[in-house]
Amino acid sequence: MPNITIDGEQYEIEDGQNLLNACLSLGINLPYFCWHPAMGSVGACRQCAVIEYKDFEDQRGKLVMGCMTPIKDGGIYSVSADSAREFRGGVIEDLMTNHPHDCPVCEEGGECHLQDMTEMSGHTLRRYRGTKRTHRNQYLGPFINHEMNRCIACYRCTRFYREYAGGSDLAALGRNNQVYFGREQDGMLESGFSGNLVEVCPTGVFTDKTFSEHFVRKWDLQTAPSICEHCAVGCNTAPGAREPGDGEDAILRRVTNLFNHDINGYFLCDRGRFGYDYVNSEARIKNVLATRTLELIETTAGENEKIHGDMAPRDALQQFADTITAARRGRRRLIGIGSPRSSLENNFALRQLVGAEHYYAGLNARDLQLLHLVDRIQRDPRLYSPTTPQIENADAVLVLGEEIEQTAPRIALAVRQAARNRQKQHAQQLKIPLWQDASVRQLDGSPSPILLVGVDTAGLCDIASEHLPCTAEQTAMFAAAIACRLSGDDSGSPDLPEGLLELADNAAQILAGAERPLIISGCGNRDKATLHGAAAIATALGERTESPCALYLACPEVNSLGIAQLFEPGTGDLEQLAQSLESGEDTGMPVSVVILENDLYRRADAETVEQILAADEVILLDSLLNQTARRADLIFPAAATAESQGSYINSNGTAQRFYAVYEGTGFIQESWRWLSDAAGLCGAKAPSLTALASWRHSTDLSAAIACEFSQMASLADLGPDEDYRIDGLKVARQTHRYSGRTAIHAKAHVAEQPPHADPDAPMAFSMEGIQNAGETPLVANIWSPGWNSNQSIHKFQQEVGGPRRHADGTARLLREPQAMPSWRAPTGSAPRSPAELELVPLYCLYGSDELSARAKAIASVIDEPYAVLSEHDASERAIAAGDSVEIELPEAHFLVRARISTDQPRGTLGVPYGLPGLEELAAYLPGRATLSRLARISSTESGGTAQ
Amino acid sequence: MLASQLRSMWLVFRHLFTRNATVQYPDEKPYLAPRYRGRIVLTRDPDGDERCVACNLCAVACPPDCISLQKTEDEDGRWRPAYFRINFSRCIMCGLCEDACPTYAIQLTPDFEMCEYDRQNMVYEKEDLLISGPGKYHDYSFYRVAGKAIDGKDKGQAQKEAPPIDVKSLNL
Amino acid sequence: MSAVWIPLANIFGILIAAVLLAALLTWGERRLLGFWQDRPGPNRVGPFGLLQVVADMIKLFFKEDFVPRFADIPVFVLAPTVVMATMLLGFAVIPVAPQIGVIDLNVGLLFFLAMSSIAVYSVMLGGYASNNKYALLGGLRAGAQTVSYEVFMGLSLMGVVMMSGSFNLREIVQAQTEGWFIIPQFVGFLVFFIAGIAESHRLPFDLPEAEHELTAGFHTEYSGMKFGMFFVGEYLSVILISSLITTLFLGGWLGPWLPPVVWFCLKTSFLVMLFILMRAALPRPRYDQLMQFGWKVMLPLALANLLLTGGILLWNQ
Repeated sequence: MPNITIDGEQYEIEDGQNLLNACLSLGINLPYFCWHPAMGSVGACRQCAVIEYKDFEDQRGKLVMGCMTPIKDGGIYSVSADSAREFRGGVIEDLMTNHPHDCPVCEEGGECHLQDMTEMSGHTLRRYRGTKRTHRNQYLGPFINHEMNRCIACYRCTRFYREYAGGSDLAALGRNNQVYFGREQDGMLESGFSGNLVEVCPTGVFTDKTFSEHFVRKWDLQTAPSICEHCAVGCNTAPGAREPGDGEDAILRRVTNLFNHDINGYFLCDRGRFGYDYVNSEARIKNVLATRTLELIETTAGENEKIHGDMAPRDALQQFADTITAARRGRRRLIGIGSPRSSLENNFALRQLVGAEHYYAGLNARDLQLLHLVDRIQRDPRLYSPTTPQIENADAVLVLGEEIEQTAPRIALAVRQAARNRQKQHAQQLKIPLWQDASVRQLDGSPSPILLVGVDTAGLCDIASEHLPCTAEQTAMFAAAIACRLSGDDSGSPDLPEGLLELADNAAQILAGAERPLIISGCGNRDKATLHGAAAIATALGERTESPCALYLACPEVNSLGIAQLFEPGTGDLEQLAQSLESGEDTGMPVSVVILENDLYRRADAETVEQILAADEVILLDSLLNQTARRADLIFPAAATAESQGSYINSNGTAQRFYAVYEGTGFIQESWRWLSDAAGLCGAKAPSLTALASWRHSTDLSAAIACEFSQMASLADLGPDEDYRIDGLKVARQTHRYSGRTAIHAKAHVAEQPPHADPDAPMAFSMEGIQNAGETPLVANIWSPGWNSNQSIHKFQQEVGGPRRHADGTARLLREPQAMPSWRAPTGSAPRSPAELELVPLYCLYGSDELSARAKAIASVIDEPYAVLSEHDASERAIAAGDSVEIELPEAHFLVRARISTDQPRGTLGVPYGLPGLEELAAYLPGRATLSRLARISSTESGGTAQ
Repeated sequence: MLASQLRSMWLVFRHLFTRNATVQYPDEKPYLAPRYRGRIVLTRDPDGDERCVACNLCAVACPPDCISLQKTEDEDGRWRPAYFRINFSRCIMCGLCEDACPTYAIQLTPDFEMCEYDRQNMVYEKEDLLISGPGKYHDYSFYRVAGKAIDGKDKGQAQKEAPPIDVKSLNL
Repeated sequence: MSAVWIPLANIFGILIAAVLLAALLTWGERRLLGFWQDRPGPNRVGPFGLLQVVADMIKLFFKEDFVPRFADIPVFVLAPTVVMATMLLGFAVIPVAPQIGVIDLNVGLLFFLAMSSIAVYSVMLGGYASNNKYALLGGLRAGAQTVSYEVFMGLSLMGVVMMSGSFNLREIVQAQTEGWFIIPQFVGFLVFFIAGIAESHRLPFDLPEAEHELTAGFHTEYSGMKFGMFFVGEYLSVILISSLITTLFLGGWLGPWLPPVVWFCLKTSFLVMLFILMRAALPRPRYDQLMQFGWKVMLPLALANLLLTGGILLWNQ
């Protein structure tokens, strides 16, 4: 641990850092632009200049750049020396000469790193009187706004976009004073991480377009720690909300990254960042809706669809309570259907209401079995589920049948960093510190081996050392082959074509030779064999090295692994429900189905769904109107993630708590509150109902879950409970600068109303309380005096880039370790008629996820329904790209545009999972279907070539 | 001690024969300087467009938090407040909003006579606040200075701006 | 006939005059304060704002007569009447002019002292019955302050009594034909004046109702006419103390050219004005300073005065 002296103070610090990093870790304010904690130093902006002295005699010292200076033991530095300050002030004055004087109309204003650094450097008066260079802006798609004049040429955007996130369509163009950061021409940024430019750019060149639509300054946002609900990675987010000012309740304004060292670090994907807007969508359910009993003369509703009208919540709850009472008295069957996109608390409340034996997972048998298999595999002591930094450290990665770029984008970004590990090793051998970003990147040396095996893995192709598109069946066999080679037991090795065998040999060698191998797979193939294969490789590797091997299994939805915990393997799927409904028909008892935040049409085949929705009464709790809502008799408005508190379990088996950012509009409340309210009105008394009715706080439910399920025991102390106080005060969700308190509601009434009370969290929906409780996990407003931008995150970390201080609100599931039995690849599948094609699911960053697809900006970039087929199959059927084709299934048919891809294995038809228009097809994936051409549309008209 | 008490009594007593410092308001109106801090108005730039760009700085500067507004961006590229509300029943006429305003949009006027029987009438919306002139600053127009392009003022046409660079040209 | 009418006219005349003057004084005080503070004061209602009194009275009458739930109600209601009654009774012994005066008591001075001592019950009970911390503190202060200052209030008058040889106020006035007692008894006058301010809780000795510490002290919970009675009681006591000083030290009605009543009124008015001027000019002392001043300065002064007067009188005999 070297000792250094900064401005006369002695410090002991970690070795291997640069001076800027050390200063920030020590809490010394030193301005910077081009350096980024996740991207290292390039020394471009000359802003972090400090004076380095030879010894204590040295009075003059020399000027060095903090970010480029490795600290050395006994080093003497000065941040506050006049010459250093003058230099920094001069640099910023130069950077500001072309700045366009438009802070008032800049979305970055108020959380601008450039503003902060200008203030910090003391440059308050513009002396430059010459002309400013200007640029024209580009259209960069519906997410990002471009305002090039604000640029200070720190190169962070291209360094992130190209080097960190692997994008290729944003570059530094031009040279010297005229350098331009943009695309070759107008168009949407292709990378799925483009949203991070908003946070990476230290000024307002790239700003959030969706936020600008309902813009407020950072200080006016009410925030709370939340979790992204659009995939199972569980990235931490800081959603911001504020009232619209017309007397209505708050709306969600934006989502930003909330640093979590082990999950998302500094970055979010675009689905997570821009998908929030579904909460404000037109389709949002805000009132209790009930089927209209009036005779309607003519409607546009389809057959079986119901017409809804508003109902007083009290009456609706009474109706619900009557149903429960009838069920309790044995006069009615009450069924509950849970959801993997709802919190554990909501699901548990439903289970409590209907009883475990009448509670179903809301997934079809295949999907639920897959989740249970993931859960089962993760229990194996020979493997472990890696955190994001562990993924970034892997030196050999095998991605098996999972499109992580689309299903777990943040993990794909981590894999991208893993690809640089050989380069980093090389740098370490040459004694180049890793933060010397430009130097490290200049080193040649092959990238770390990244092997992609699966259906459509195009997203990571550019970093892949091997890329093998193949069917799910082949994937499993390939995995089995590798596992056999690794375990040295060749007996079970499946028959593979010659080329694949060689590849498998190669892959086995690479993995065996790696120090930190990583296997990534997931439920994407909707195939158990893929998961088994991945597990077999990981266990084989684990046995070989006698230390657990990293295996990341991506789950499809935010709480997939959570809902799996509530069911014994083999129980609770929708097919079983349909069956039991069918067998119970002869009892003549009426059936009520309570559906919790679930669109059944996405979950099960038409027949099963029809059987379930044919129940006498369908009660739905959901946030958005969907296909299922058309069939419901009673719809309760459920709170979205940002409006509620609860817990999710991510793909890693990590439970995390999210807090309500704001109170939902109208009658919106958490689903469990509706259930609890109904139980409270219920005439029949039963201990389970009394318990449900008595729960007042979200934490009561967490505690009850912890009590009932031993593996989730840690849920009870996932974070401070509602009674937690700091100096007797709650934590304020609003900043100390929150404006307009006495005016924002004044149009409706000049007298101020008290803020909403929050029974669930030790946080207030107001400015009252502790504003910067940096020592708790409750802070989402990342701000520090003098650091208004998100760069202030280092003030909340133990050290720059390290975990947050005292803010660990996560806990792994406590599952019984249990080794997986040995597994053999299935051989041979049922023969397929030549007319049929194997349907395989493809995933889209924008569209596959149910909720984010309803966000305005994301909806505008979702593709029209399409299907991808191989060149061979296309020519066989005389289908050209862009043709309108029909996918025919026994129960349904879907109209799509044809796309042709060389990567699509022969005999398969890639179908985007859950894409709007194809939601109902999701339940049939994977499966078989025939394809017929409807009409030919000239291919120039449609962009549907190889994707 | 007694002397000082007597002296102050004498000094106070002498005020019986001095002029009143107050005037008989409302019969007699006091003189108010043009920069007196009274009722707040929103002004327009010399071209007659709203000056307010909805930057929210007045709102955040306001000690009793009585200003609230919402930014919206119009077709012409300008930022404007979708609504702009001042709750004068809370306003303390401190003038910090005027100090904070980067576009001279919000200004205080020498009118303080705002009495209402109904407190609700003290809530002023944008229509109530907007005046038709530029107020105390006659020539300033924010968009002429700022680099943001709006209708009628392209990139490079603001004050002291060079024409935009064509990155694809060779004359760099 | 006149044996009945003259005393009756005297009684009601003085009663009504005292109450009216006290009411008018609420206007007069504010007007004077206004002048001394370079503003006109209340000048809107009626000529010179004279009808301000009427306006205030109407206001007080029509205010909600609020009795707090937690108060000791009978005492709460009774308390303000005590001060009013005792102060009015005090006027009974004041000899306004040779023919004007309610009663010619030979223990007139003692009667006055008794009345002013009873008045403190009003404040103490009012403070206690309000069941409010500010009121209670105000009441306690009033009790302590009055008890302390009463001691030398009585003692300071003994010089006058010794010189005139009587407790009868008329006789005291008549004893001043040779010269007002203010000259031989200047120390007695000063001590009595200061004690009088403290007795009537006027500024600068208004600690029982010190508004920046105790909201409104003992009458925090009072409103409407109950408050009005405290208010009028205070002004009555100002007039009473002033007229007593006139009687005891300034020769009562004695004076050349003008009728005796006018002399009496002029002298009293001057003293009332002095009271108001003190309010306008002097800051309030701290409570401990007040007590210290009373016991350590005023009491020895009064005793010394008594000793000296007695000594001189004995010497002269």
